[in-house]
Amino acid sequence: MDNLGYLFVAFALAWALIFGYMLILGGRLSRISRDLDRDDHEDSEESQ
Amino acid sequence: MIESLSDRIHAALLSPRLRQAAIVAAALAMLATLFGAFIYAPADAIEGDVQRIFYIHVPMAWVAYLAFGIVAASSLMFLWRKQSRWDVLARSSAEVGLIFTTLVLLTGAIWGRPIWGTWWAWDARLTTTLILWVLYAGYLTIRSFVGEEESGARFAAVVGVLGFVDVPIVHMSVTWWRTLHPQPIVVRPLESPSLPNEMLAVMLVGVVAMTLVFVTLLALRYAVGIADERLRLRRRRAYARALLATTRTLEAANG
Repeated sequence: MDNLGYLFVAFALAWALIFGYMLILGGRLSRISRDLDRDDHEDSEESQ
Repeated sequence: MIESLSDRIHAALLSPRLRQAAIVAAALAMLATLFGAFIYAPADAIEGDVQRIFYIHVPMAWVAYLAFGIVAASSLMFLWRKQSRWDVLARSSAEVGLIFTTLVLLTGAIWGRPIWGTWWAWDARLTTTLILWVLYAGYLTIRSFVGEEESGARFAAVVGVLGFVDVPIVHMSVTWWRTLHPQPIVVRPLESPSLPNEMLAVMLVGVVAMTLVFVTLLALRYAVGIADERLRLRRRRAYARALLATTRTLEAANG
């Protein structure tokens, strides 16, 4: 691998890890928010 | 005063609008860093193009220091105020800091292969950084084992504060020991940076960009932590209510 190859791999790895982590966090946040909304909905149905 | 400041910090981290603004700002700053690193900054006369890794490697190292500083400060606040939100912030910052430390080690190895002829050397800077990685990986492992009990959170907070001791050792390692790792060229006690202006400018843009990326990830991870805690508390309450209702039904049935 030449110098540019190492450079490309370093930048690609950094961005892949950062974006991958961001996507995982986004997914977890929307799943938990959905669960909270569902619990809210069930609570309001029970109280009626 | 402290309470009001702390409320503002936590509210800002949870604000979806601020999170979106941070994502846009981080994306723009990263584009500027890419332009600077690949087009604006000249190639290094000795190392060639591979030296451009420096424009993400150094900013990520700075962000890792910042993240572990936040872990230590939040852990101290948790030990003092006993508010679980500080514990959530410490854990969030440790996780994001560990991601950046992993990237610092990986990008350093990728730079080291063509320049040193090896992916890894047991050099003082590399070894103390690896110790930093192990400390915070251990911190997160402790967190996953102790669950949500307060005693476990207190123990983790102490580890979070003590772990930070390694950060100044990592930073000063190249000065205290003879190492393969390059000497500091930007933050040097009593001396100005020894970089050409174009390289210094791109490096500073990189620092701003990585800090914005860090803030975005920290806010997102903190929002996940707080939402997760709310869900757990709510389910615990629902379970307690169901248990109470069952007990009453049984008591009524038994007369």
